[in-house]
Amino acid sequence: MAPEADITELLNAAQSGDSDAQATAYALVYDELKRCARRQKAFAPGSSLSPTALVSELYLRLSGHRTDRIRNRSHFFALAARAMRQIIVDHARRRTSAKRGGVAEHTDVATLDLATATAEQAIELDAALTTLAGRDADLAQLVEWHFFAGLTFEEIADELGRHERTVRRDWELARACLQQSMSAAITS
Amino acid sequence: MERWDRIKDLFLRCQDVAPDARSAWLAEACADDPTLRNDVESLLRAQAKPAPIFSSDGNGLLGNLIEDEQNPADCAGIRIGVYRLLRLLGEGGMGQVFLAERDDGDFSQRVALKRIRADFANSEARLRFLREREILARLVDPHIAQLHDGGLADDGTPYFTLEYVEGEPITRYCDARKLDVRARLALMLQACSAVAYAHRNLVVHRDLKPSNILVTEDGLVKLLDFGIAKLLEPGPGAAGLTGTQAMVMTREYAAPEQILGEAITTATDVYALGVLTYELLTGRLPYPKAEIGQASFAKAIVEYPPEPLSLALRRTREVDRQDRLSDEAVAAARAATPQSLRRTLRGDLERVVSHALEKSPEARQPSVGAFADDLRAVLEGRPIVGGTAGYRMRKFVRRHWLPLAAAAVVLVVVLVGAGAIAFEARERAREAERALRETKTTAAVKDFLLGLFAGADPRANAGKQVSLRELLDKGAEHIDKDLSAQPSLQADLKATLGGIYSRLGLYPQAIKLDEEAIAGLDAAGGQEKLAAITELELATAVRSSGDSTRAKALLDQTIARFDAMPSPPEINVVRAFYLRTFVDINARRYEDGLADANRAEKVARAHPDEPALLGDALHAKASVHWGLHDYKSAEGELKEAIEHHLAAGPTSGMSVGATRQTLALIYAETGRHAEALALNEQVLANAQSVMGERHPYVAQIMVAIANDLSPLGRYDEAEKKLRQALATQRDLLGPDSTYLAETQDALGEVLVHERRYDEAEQAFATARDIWMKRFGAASPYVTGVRSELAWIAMLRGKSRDAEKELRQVLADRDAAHEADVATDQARLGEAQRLSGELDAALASDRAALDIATRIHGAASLERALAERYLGCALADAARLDDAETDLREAIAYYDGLVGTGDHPLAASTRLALGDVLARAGKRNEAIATVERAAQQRERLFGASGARTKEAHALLSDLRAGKTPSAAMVAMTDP
Repeated sequence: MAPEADITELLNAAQSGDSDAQATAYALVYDELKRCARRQKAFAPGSSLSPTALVSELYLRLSGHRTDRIRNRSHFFALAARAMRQIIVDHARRRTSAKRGGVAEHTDVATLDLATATAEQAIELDAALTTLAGRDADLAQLVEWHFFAGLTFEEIADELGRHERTVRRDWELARACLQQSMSAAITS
Repeated sequence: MERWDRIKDLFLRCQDVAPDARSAWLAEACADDPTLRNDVESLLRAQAKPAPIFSSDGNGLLGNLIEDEQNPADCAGIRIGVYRLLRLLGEGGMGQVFLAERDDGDFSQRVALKRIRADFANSEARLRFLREREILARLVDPHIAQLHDGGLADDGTPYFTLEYVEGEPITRYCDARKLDVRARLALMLQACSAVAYAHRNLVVHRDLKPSNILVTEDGLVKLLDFGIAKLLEPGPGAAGLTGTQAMVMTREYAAPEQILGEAITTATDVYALGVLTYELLTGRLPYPKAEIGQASFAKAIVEYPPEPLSLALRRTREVDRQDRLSDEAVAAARAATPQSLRRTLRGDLERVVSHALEKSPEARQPSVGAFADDLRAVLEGRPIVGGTAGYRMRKFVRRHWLPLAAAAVVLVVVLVGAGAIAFEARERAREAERALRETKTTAAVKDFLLGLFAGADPRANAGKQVSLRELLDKGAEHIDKDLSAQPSLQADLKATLGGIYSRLGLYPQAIKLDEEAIAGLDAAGGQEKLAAITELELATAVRSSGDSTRAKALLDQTIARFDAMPSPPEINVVRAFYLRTFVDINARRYEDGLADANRAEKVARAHPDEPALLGDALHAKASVHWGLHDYKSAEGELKEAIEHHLAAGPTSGMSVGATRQTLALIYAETGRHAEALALNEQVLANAQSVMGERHPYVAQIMVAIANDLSPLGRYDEAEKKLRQALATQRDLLGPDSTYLAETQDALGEVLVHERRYDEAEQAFATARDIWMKRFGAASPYVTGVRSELAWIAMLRGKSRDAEKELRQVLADRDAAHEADVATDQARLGEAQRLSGELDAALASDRAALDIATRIHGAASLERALAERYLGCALADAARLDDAETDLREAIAYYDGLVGTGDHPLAASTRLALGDVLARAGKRNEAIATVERAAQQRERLFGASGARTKEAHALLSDLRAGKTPSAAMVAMTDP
């Protein structure tokens, strides 16, 4: 079976409470997103990868032309967002551990360290987000959906059945909490 | 969590309140719980400071983290500018660095090519990129990866090319070779010199770290990556870039002010160098808590004091990262044990490093130069600048406590006078030190005198050499007065002191002391070895002061003394023969010279543990062969000598340089000017790193380089180097130095090529005056200048005067200097031609051609000169075919010197050839030839240069069908 079919089956199964299916679905989504990312990069090197685009692409591939194949979009987004976050953090960890004693050739320090600084911040963000999840799960999910899966406020509002304005304000709060955690990490 | 809900609620409702009204609103809403208000307000504050990561809303975040899967096949072969990409070296989110090759075909030069990515060619990234290029263009230093050129690629993105440095990060380089602390500090000094150079050019690097400081295979440190360097003066776009600096530097090496976003100065680089030194010495970074993840680096750098150097190695340590090395491994990588390493790191070294790591920029060493001086002080066992006078005294005494009463008297004198001893150059101190070590004197004497040099600061201004003189003179005085009761100690000290004077170039004093010493030793008896060695020193001083005859007599005596000994000291034996070889060469007694050199070689080969001896012996032998014009043997011997000197280690550094220079002379002699240039540039780089910019030896090498540039037609580069050398020589050697004369002479020649006749005459006149004073009017040097001045007269049109003078010059030249005869003869021929005496001219030119070919070979500047002049003479005599042949040969030679470049003399000769072809009726060929010459001149001198205009004038004449006047053709360039 094609991976897309796998995921759909699994997602649908997971929806009904099958936790193994859930875990497997997640793993597959993770792999698929990475593959998508690489493909995009290879095709257009230098293009900035948009998580939105990746997630959308995956969703499209999973649902085909029939919009009802995945029974619960939210479920998919939740998984995809989580996977995206994980991918980013994995890469960030790899980059920060590789940078000391790494290749010492003519890489433009400014650009290399833009990435490294970003990586460090990504890791800090991840930690802050975990803290936030302990405090307010909804806000944390909002961050995952908006920041990591790239969903717009409108899309999120649709999905959750709320006003876009409310979602925006929630985002402000979430961001403030995260920033508070992250700067505390430096000064604490 | 009710509290949280309240905070949340308050925050969200606050969003609708105007910002300046929020405080009041909150006060009211939180009347019952003031701490609640604090919580909300802190969130509001956090909201107002967006972290950079949120600026892109996740877009691009991924792009920055996931590496491009660049298919190597994709980039190989792509052309950017004149370069062809070979492979990707590295990249980041904003751009890439490739290994590339010039696509011109002839120059296989590999470079690093840096390019901005098309989609990042937005204003900020582009500005930053161009800024780096601008910075690099200012920095020309052997220790900085050199900017080559740059431009726009086909898609409009900017790129630039840099010297491709193949090397390892300094930390890895040191560890892989298990370099000890001294060697590591020496490498740091190279890095410091590069950074200091950048600072002098108003550039702060801001991102110094091991991956930016590479060391090549032959131990040359190269600084890379001025990507975020800052110009200390305002420039275009300067304001725009500083905002993002917080994001882009490497945390571990960042200075506190960088973390805090405060002003960046040269002290920032000092800090980074401090961290680097720390890491090189201990394998660790200064903040252990941050290293093991207990605190962030940012916090540690700003708040925690650095761990002292010697404590960086401890018996037990929390190890939670696999890449952490054990203390044993760290010490082993520094060729030490943990205990010995700890000992080495205590004390001054620790002080220097912690000084550099001060949190406040003003508290650190005031400059990279000061930091480097501190390191050097540690290397040479001197007290560092930070110490008190009392401390300095105590340290000196502790190291140089002498048991002998007599020596103690002298030592007191030394200490009192030790206030500010200065040296002309560090290398002289080393040489003197080496002289001392070689000399077999009592330990006490040696210690005393070594102490003299150990207390001196080598980075002196030359003017301060006087204080050392005073010190030495005082020492000599005291030896005379106070040690008359101990004749052998007295003689011993005198001999050693004499050697020192000699090394410093103070020959009269050296000679006097040596003579007295020998007399004393011979009188005391039983000191044959020391007497012989002192006699050798005397011979050296005598020779260096110019008295070759007496030097020879002394050397004969010395060698006789050595021969009479059962076990003569080999180093001195080799030295004696080495010296006598050169005395023989000067007197042109080549067979004797060869015999002496062979003997030196024989002794040296019996001592493989002293490779420097063999290096010296082979150098001597090569010099003999050179005198005999046996360039092939000389070349082989020099190459071998260089290897032996390299094997002898850093103390032989000067000899390596000298031998390389001699080899370069041979290359020049055999027409391989480009190779000579490359070799001399190597010598220059090494000499500069050891002695700094202002040293007579460095000036000498610059002159040698100028003499390589001139035959290649690179006249303005040659002029620049010569002027640099002149400045140094004038200051350090005084106006009567013969070295100065040689430089002026070389400058004169270059100026003639540039057609600046008045200035050239001045330069030659200066040289001649010095030589006249030194050697008299009949000396070959003065004769040479006469030839040059006659040449200028000829170029100015006074050909009859020139002819007369050149005849006289030829008559005055003795057989010993026939090498110059070819040029004189050729010039005579040309002068005769310009005077209209065609037959005489042809005869002279032919003679010149013969001599040139015989003496200098078929591929030589002298032969090309003769061919040019002969070609012109033949043209005048209407022997157009023969003229064409000779001129073409000359052109071929000049072209061959510079490959695909342009040689000015090739262009000039083409003009003459064009005229000949026109007269022979080959009009199209003539036009093509002159066209090419005009293009060459345009490239060489610019479109508006006088010579370019000349060429174009000739070209339009030809095109218009006019036969150029004889006067035009007479304008042959020197």
